[in-house]
Amino acid sequence: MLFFFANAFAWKPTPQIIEEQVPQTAFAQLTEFQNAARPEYNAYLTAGIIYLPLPNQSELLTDWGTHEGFAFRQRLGMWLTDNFKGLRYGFGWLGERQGWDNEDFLFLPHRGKFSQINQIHTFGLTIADSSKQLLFGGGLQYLNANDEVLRWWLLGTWSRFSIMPSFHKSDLQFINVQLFLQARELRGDKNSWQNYLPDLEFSFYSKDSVRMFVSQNIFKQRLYLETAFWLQPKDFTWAAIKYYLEPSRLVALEATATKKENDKVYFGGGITIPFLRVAYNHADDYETFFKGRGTWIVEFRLALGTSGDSFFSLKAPKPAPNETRRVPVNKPELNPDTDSGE
Amino acid sequence: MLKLILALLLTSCTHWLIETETRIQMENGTSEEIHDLSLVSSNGQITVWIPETVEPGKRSRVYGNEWVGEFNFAVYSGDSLIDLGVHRLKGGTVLAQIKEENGKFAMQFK
Repeated sequence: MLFFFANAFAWKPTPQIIEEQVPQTAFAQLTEFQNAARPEYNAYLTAGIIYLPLPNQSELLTDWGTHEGFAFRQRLGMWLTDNFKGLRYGFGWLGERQGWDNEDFLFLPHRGKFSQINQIHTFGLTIADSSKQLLFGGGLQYLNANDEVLRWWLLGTWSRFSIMPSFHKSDLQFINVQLFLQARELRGDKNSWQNYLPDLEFSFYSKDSVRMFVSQNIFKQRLYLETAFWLQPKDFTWAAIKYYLEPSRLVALEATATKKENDKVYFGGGITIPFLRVAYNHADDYETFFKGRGTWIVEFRLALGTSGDSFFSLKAPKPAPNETRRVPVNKPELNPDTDSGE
Repeated sequence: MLKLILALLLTSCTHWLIETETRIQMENGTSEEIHDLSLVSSNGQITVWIPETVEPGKRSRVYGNEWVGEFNFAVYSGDSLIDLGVHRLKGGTVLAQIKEENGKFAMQFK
């Protein structure tokens, strides 16, 4: 019944859409690295598998007609750090395999005549001084679509400000500038009126292509209004209202409005709980999953950061409530008379 | 049973249940000799599925290809390519019956 409803608005990715997704995912991966590798954090772990169970949910549209098969997105990533002489050194890798295959798979794709399987990997090293809220990083990015492309990137983060340029040879490809002004307990900020400052992000794809993202806390770092739009050329992309069960953002309820190429705006939303995300017409899927819409998308996923003993979801202002109880262990005292060996 | 379900989940192999190949046998129900049952793309490219000439009333051999979905079929009669319209292939083996209706060729899957 649910899927019958979904098929009535069938979305069909094309080979062109799948190819154009690769550079977009590359930029998104850099931004994810930027969000994950903060000077105050220890580690980040992410994984995600979008699995559409029916072969007619994501039919590929080519000149030949429509092909039954499966659009997919599989990703894995981590950023791990360790202290050495007062500084925190980190290594990160974010990898994604995405595309379309005429069979569904977990490990080995079938690679039929119209299959298109692309990979995007970001590697990086970071060095951070937590006490000064300072982090520097740099690394490589590998894109494997029609041709193989190697890019390199730099990262500089100081407290609420962060900048990340990415290059191909000596050409600047992308600069992401973040002004995450909102007070974050995870960063060591105190609760104050600054909890209500916005998070701003400017993404420069080129001189004539600049995107802005705004996230505004409107209630106790639980309810947020978010929007993304192009400053250059002026254009609306999406807007969302997001409710997090608590400020660690492990559980989220989201409603989104997204603009399609034909200028029509459509509405959708999703639920995220640890290890699972269920969404319909969600703005994120339109952006990261081949303009996916009009079908239920189930993703087995994870995106956890840690700072000390606490953990949280990406971009969260506060850690998850720590329910670990330390129960004192009563060690039985050794009695030399009875425990002297049998 | 539970192990089987678990194995299906782990490998996500619904392709054990869903076919990705279609096998077609052509039957000529027209009064003319036809040949080369083909797929035609929107920009005029042609892929021959059944590279055989079939006389009226006869059947071709079975040819399998990895096409599942909706595609435009055509068949040759002499030198002319005759459009048979868009048909959905669901995988498995089908008999493509080509008939003449009101002077036009039409194809039906059985």
